[in-house]
Amino acid sequence: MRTLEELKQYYDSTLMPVLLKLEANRKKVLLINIIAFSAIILMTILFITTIKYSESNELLLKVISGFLMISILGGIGLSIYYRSKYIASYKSGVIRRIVSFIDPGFNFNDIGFINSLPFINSNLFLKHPDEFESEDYVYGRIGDTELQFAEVHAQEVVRRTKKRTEYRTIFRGLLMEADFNKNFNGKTIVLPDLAQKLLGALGQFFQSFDSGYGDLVKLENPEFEKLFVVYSSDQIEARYILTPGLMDRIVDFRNKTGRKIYISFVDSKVYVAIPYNKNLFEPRLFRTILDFSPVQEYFENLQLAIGVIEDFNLNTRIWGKE
Amino acid sequence: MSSSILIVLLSAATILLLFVIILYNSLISKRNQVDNAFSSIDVMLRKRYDLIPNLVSTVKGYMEHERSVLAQITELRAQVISYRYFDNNRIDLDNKIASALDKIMLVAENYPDLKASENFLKLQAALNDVEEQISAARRAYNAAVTDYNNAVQMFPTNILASIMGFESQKLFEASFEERKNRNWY
Repeated sequence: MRTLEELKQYYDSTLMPVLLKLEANRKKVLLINIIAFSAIILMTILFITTIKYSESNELLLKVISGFLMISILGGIGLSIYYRSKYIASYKSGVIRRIVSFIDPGFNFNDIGFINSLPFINSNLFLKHPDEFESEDYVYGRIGDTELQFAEVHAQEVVRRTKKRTEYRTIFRGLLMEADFNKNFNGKTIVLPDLAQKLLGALGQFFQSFDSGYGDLVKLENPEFEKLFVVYSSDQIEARYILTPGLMDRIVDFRNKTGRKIYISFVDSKVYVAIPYNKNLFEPRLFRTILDFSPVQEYFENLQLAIGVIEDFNLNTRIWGKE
Repeated sequence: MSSSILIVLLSAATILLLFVIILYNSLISKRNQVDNAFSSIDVMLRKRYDLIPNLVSTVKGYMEHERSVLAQITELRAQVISYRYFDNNRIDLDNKIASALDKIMLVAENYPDLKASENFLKLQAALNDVEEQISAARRAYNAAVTDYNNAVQMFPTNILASIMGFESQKLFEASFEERKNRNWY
C-alpha cells in the first residue's frame, strides 16, 4: 500500500515521461477525430446542397452520396481505430505502472475476466447474464491471499423484437474475488439494505420471505445491520464467517467506498462487487492527461480494491485454511 | 337478515382461526429454531473435546513440568463426555475445560520447539477454528432466542403465547473468563 505522497513522487519521476508521450498521442488522436468529424459534416453539407440545387442530375447525386457514405464509414472507422489504440497505450503505459507501483506482486491486463464465471460464482445476482463484458483485469497475491478483480458489465435480455433486443443492466462496476481465510461449505450473501432503512422492523419482516439467497440472518452489529441485509444457507456458518471483527471491517470498507457494496462468501472465497456507472480506467480525450488528478483517481480506485486483503484481514490465517 | 349476519360471522371466525394457526406455527417454528441452535452449541463443544487427547499427546513430550494440568484436562474431558444435558454441572465443567485449554496454550508459548512443530501448529489452528465455531453457535443461539422472545413478548403473538404456555428463554451469557480473547497466535 502506498501514500499519496509516494504516488506524487512516482508521478513526477516515472509517470511523467510516459504521460508526455501519451499526451502527444492524444493530441494526434484528437486531431484525427476533428478532421474525420469535419469531413463528415462537409460531405453532408455538400450532399444537401447537391440535392437542393441539382435534383435532376442523378449521376452527380450518386457520386456525392457515395462520397458521403465513404466519409461517414471511414471517419467513424478511423476515429474508433485510433481511439482504441490510444486507450490501450494509456492503459499499458500508465495503469499497468500504477498497479505495480501499489504492489509489485500485482499485474494488469486490459482484457478483463476471460468469462463470466467469477460473476456467476459470486451468487450475488441470481441471474446468468445474457451479455457479459469485462476489462481492466488485475490479479496478484499478498501473503496467502490471491486476489483478482476487473470491471464488468453484465446485462440481461428484457425483450426481443424483430427489430432489436432490449437489455437491462444486472450489474456494472468492479467485481473482486479473493481467497477467504476460513474454510466453509455454504453460501452467505451480504446485500445493501434498502428495506431496513425504509421500514425498520417491518422491513425485516418482509426480508425474511423467500429471497432466493437463503435464510435471513440477523446479526448483532447495529451499524452493520443498518447498511446490509444478510442471507445464508446456514445460520451458524454465517456467524462463523461474519465475526464481530469482520463486520466492523466491512462497515469501514463500505464507508471508504461511499457506495452500496455487495459481498458474498462462496466456496471459501469472498466476492465484493462495487457498482460504478462509468469506465474507471480510461484516459481523457478532450482534456490534457498530464494532470495529477486523474492519476490520483486511478490510484485510489486500484488501491481500494487491492486493499481489501488488508481491510478484511484476509491474511490472518490462524484457522487452518491453506 | 339472519343468514347474511351468519355468513359474516362465519367468515370472521374462519379468518380469526387462520390467523391463530399462523401465529401458533410461527411460535413453534421459532422455539424449534432455539432448540436447534442449542444443540449446535453442544455439537461444537464436542468438537473441542475431541481435540483434547491429540493436544495432550502432542505437548506431553515437551511440557514435562505441566503434567498436572494435562492430567486435569484429561479428567475433565472424561467427565464432560458422558453428560447429555446442560445443567449447571455441565456448564461448570465446560468453563473449567476452557480455562485449562487457555492455560496449556499459554504455557506452550514458553517452549519454542513445541511452538514450531507442525503437529502443534495444526492443532493450534484447529483449536482456533473450533473456538470460532463455538462463538458462532452461541451467537446463533442468542439470535434464535431473541427472535423467539420477541414473538412471546410482542403483540399480537404474546396473547397466544401466554394462553398456550410459551415462555421466554434465557440468552447465553459468556462468563468473565470466556470473554477474554480466545485465539492463540
